[in-house]
Amino acid sequence: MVENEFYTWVQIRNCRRFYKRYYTTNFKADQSLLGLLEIFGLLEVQAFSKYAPCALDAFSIKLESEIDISGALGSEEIQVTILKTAPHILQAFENTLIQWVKMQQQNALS
Amino acid sequence: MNKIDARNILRGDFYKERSAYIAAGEPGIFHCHHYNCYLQAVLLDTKDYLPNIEQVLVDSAQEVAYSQFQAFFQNTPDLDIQGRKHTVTDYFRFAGFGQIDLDRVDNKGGTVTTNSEHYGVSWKLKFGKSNQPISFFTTGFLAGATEAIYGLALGTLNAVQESCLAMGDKYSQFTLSISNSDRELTASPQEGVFQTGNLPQPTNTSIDYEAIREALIHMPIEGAANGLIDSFGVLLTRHYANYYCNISYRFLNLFMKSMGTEGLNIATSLLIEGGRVCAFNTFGGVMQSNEWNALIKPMIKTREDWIHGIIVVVNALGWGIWQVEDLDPGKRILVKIQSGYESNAYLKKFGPSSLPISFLAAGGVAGLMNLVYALNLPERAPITLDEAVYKKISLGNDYFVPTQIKCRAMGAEFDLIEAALVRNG
Repeated sequence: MVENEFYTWVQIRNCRRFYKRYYTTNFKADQSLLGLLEIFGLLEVQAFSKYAPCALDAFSIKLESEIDISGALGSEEIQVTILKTAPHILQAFENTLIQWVKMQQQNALS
Repeated sequence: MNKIDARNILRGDFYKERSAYIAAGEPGIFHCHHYNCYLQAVLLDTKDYLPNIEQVLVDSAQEVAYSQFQAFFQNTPDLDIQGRKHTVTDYFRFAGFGQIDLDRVDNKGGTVTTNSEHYGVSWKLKFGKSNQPISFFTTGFLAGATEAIYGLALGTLNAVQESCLAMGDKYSQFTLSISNSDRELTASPQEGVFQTGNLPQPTNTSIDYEAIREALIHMPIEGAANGLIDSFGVLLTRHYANYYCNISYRFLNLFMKSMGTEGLNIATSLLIEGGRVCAFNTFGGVMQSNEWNALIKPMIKTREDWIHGIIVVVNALGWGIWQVEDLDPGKRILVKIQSGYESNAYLKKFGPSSLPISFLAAGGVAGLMNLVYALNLPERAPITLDEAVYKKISLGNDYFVPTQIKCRAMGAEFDLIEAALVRNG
């Protein structure tokens, strides 16, 4: 596990071409996070709460086969599947996540 | 070309009372690239003893594709040739088999070229480069579907694969021509001898079976523009239940004929191992997926709920109605299966069996127990599930092995699979 002041992550091998990372923050994903992440691709939401009240609505943002960001509204975990040859996109995602966490930290203080 | 409307698009329906997807008479089931490639690799490994095994893979695909599209086209008589070709290519993409076009194919044959095809892509991902073409399913599919498009008899066409993505070729290419061999192809058993029943709701778990299955069967899982379904960390297919059954049971028969009783034991062990590999990768991938975290994990209170969570998922895969009959945590599980796709097909195609034949189910149940108890995935996730981890489980102290206690193909009312803990060494 790798840890910094904004999040922790664990990486697993997905297949030969991809890594999969599990990021955890101290904040639950919300619409403001989706708003920031939408620059990475097409947003799809699975409204699982329609079927079970305790289930969370899952989201997925894909940019062709380069990055797939997924999570659930109300969950602190975000999964990122990233092409090994696209570290610049992963860096951009991490910058966005840090930006959102900072916003959440400020909101918590105010 | 016909106007494209809903009548010309083949999708099929999910039948809750059977936990089965049916599209133009053919049961469809979800399986991932690990199982598809592993099962095929196991069969190909025997080709020194069974020289016809590659043809079995091709013929089995030709039979199911022909049967499905012939049935569909009988019910859509207004479709012209272009409309029929669109139906086939669209279904191939929808099912996650890849992206094809049939523009250079007619009633005497032709060629099909693709740069995105499930087996070619998957094989290279899983095993690295192949030294021979390996897309046997697609080879047979193209022949069978083209026969149905042109109203030809099953077996009229023959297909061969000329180049293959798995070999590092830029394209996979298939050539179809009028067959001059005397292969004996038979129509698919289609829906087989199926049963109906209710989805169980065990009282000893907080997992909501009905809610989860409803959510899963309404997920839009289909091939992307490249014809592949990249989901749950694997490449999924909406495959043909009868394809797996055809290749598995023909393999079993060939092995028995070639090697007698000893061959039977080896063949059944290999097929069950295929189920274990499937569980390890598919169930393991599902348990570490975002969908699991969003939909199922909020309901989980105990480690046994992880078992129930996967059993519900299985009830949405088209494999039949699965139910935990008994669970002794960490020691033993009994799973009851009604309308299992293996028994459904076997009974229709071969009649009663003298031995248990639910190999995928047996391996799957044991594989599930290995994930939850031998590997302890609930407390270790997320972890990389690779061959090293699989080997470690298999050689570890605690390991679950399956026994099929009851089998519908042998006359029982349902299939009953036990997986019990054994200690190595």
